[in-house]
Amino acid sequence: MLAPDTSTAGASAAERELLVAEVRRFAGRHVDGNAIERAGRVPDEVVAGLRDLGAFGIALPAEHGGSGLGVGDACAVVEELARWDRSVATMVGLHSGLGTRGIVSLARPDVAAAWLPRLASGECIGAFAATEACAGSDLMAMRTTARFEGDEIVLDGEKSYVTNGRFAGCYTVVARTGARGHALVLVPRGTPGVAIGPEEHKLGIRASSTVTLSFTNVRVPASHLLGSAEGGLDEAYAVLSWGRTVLASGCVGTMQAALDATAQHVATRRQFRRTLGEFPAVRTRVAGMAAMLFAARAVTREAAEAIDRGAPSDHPSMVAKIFASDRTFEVCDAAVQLHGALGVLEDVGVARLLRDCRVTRIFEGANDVLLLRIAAARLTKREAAPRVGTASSHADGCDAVGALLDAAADVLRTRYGAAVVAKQGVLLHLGRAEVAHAAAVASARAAGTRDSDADLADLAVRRLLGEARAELDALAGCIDVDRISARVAERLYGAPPKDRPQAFARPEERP
Amino acid sequence: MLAENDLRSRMQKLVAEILEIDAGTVSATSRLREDLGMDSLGSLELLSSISEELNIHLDIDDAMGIVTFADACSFVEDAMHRQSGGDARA
Repeated sequence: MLAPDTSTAGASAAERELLVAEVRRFAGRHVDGNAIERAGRVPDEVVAGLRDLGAFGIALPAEHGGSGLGVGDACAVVEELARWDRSVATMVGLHSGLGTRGIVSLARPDVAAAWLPRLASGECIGAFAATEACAGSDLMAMRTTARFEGDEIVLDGEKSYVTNGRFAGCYTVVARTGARGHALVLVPRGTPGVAIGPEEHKLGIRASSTVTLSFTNVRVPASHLLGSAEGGLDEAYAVLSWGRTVLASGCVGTMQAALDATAQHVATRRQFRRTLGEFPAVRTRVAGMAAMLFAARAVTREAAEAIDRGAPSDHPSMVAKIFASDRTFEVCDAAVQLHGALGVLEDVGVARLLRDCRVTRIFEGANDVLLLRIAAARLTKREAAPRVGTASSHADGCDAVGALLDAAADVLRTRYGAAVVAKQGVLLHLGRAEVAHAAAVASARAAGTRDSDADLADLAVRRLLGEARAELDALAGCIDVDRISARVAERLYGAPPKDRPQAFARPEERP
Repeated sequence: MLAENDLRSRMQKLVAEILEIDAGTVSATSRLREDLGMDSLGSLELLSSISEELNIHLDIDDAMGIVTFADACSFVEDAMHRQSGGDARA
């Protein structure tokens, strides 16, 4: 397999702060989330302003007109944009991650030279097309084909939920080659046979473009193959590490927006002769929101740093994506709740944050599927759970839970062997425990960077370790829960099909 | 205990069912990952199904060394042999 080179160099902390400050100034003047949602598209002047800022070229190579910075810098920009509007952040984030990474890492030099300058300037915006109507998290089920004919690649099929699809100048398409292989193929907009469907009407990020793309006898030069002709799925997974990390950073921005709005509201809204913020229950809840934001930022930064130094990033990017997207939904829901009836009024803005963030638990790998993958990796790779590794008052607590995680994995291996993958209830508890623990460890590591962060880290670590322990406790009883759940599901939507392979039938169903 | 050929054809059928492909495309030398496109979770799913179907315990650590379909068959045969009281193969 041709392994994509995903390592990049990042800006210094001071440079990154300047970059973010510039984006903030621009967004404060020109990005109005409510207005953008009502318009249903990102305004041309906002796209033009982002081009002028260089937002589309941050992580693209300097030799092709980009800034040559790392994923951590792209994340910082996307986080800031998401504070103002998630559709704008999604457009830039998708372009910076999935939309361009395959071209940067895998394109032939002549193809990279032809496309990357336009992508870096933002003249051309990138998109990524992998999902199909019947192939979401299960990419192996995709039906779009790419076949090699002479010096051309011919594509046929249909891709769903293509972000940036309406206006993208090029698409990185994942397609099946031969019986089991896959390839990434660069398809320029306007290639004969490419049809762009209507915009989908969505729950959130309504100004983000989401379309279906159809490919009918679409012919592109063979040079547009990105990477290998057979190993495209592995290459797509490598590109996904970028995509998931950038997506997590957008979640952090949304959390920050929800927290800022909530802090302002509870400080001014009076009930029972006091501001809401004076009530201990409110103070605890808002502090919990801030702690989860701190943890999400820490775990996302660790994933970005892993990519930027060329370290394995599949696992940290999955952890960051799951944690940040789940906690963003939780924090935005709390924001709506603490705003009371105002929270459901669209003009206030927090309702939009809640709607906008919902899809992130599905984008780029549904969280439940990713949790199963994390748990399976824990059971098969025999790597010890991460330790804090630096002087921290939380090291002992984190490491004790890490040891519990390792012990739980050992027990599951011994008790079930390979059959453990059929125990999805068990795996989900293990996966959730691992994600909570990883976020606690990242928070403990981040605590040392600024004194003002100590309390936030303390809150985050205490809560997350408690959650990890609770998930591990739940492991013991979940076999019975699985059986009862199966009976309830059967009553709700019927018995398993009679022709289901016996291997997938429960023991009591077998003849 | 299943005959070797029976076991292999059952496993062939299982791989085909899991991957939704024609059983004829699965040969002894087919590599689970590179040729059949099974990721680590898919490989474990296969072994898990066999483990339940044959009511044998398949060690998850040993399973990690499996590369080809023939490796998977040998791995299961060894486990069956051991658990039926026979000597383990070299």
